[in-house]
Amino acid sequence: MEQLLNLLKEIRPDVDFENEKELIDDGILDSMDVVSIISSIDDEFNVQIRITELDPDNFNSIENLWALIESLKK
Amino acid sequence: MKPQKINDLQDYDALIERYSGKGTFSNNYMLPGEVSELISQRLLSVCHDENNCWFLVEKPSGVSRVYYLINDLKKISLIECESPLVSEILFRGNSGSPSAEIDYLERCGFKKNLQRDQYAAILSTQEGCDPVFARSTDDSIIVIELFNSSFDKYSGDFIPQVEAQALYDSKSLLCCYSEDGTLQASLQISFAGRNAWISHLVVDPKYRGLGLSDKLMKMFVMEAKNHKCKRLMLWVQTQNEIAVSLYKKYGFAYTNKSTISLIKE
Repeated sequence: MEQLLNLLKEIRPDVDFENEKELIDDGILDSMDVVSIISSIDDEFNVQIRITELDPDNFNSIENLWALIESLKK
Repeated sequence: MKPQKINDLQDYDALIERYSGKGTFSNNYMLPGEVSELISQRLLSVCHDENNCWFLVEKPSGVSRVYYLINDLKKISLIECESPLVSEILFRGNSGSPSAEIDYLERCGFKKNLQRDQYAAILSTQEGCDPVFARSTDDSIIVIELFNSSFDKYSGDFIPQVEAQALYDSKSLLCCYSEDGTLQASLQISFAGRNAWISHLVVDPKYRGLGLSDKLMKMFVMEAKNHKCKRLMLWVQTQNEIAVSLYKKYGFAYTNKSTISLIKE
């Protein structure tokens, strides 16, 4: 998960991804961030998250996002 | 290429599927909910060729916002559209300017417009003061005119006058008035989740140099606290150094997110 944390911090260095658990619901990440994160995850983890099937809840916390990546790897 | 209306979300999804891949240049950050809304309002069009796809969104200001999926930078695309086109490219400050996309859009007839940076601050000990709101719908109209004459209409800043009543009712316009009741400056506050946004901030040129921006910032801080916000957010034009230094005084820092807009008229 550290690799994911570094990726997220690269995109939004101002966000405390270890403690924020409502990243979407609190309006911390916007659609620009989400699309950037999807693109970086594709590059780093070779996992494709389809924007058309996007569930915003998966982006609320680093744990949710990590679980999504793991499920897509299978 | 002549844009055609998109009438079905499935058609949009099929285009995304067809034109998205590794190495695709894209500024399309629309999420499914927003796309559905645009389709239902018949505001979303598309034109495409073999490798490149362009989505057009009609904006209230009369311009069309352009989102692209570009796979062939050599193929010059000419969009037939009566309204001016504006395309905004997101980039990360630590990754540098998106020069390949800018170069491509310029070859397609677009011209560089302006660059904006996003700033954020954690709401904590910043000084606040009691907010003063627009006193009437007529004052809301004056504020809208001030905003629209001061900001770039191509970059989503334009506010239609029909929103005057809603802005007044929602207490979104923080204002400075002179002793005789003349409106001198205003800040539009908006809320998203637990973020308070500075949507617009303008001081009438006649009243600059009186510390009114600072006063509006203090009202903004107080309103954000009243709404139990955690974070303050804004976009600012990169070259507006006076505004940036004011925002830094209130704890704002660059979020590493910038956009450059290009227009074609």
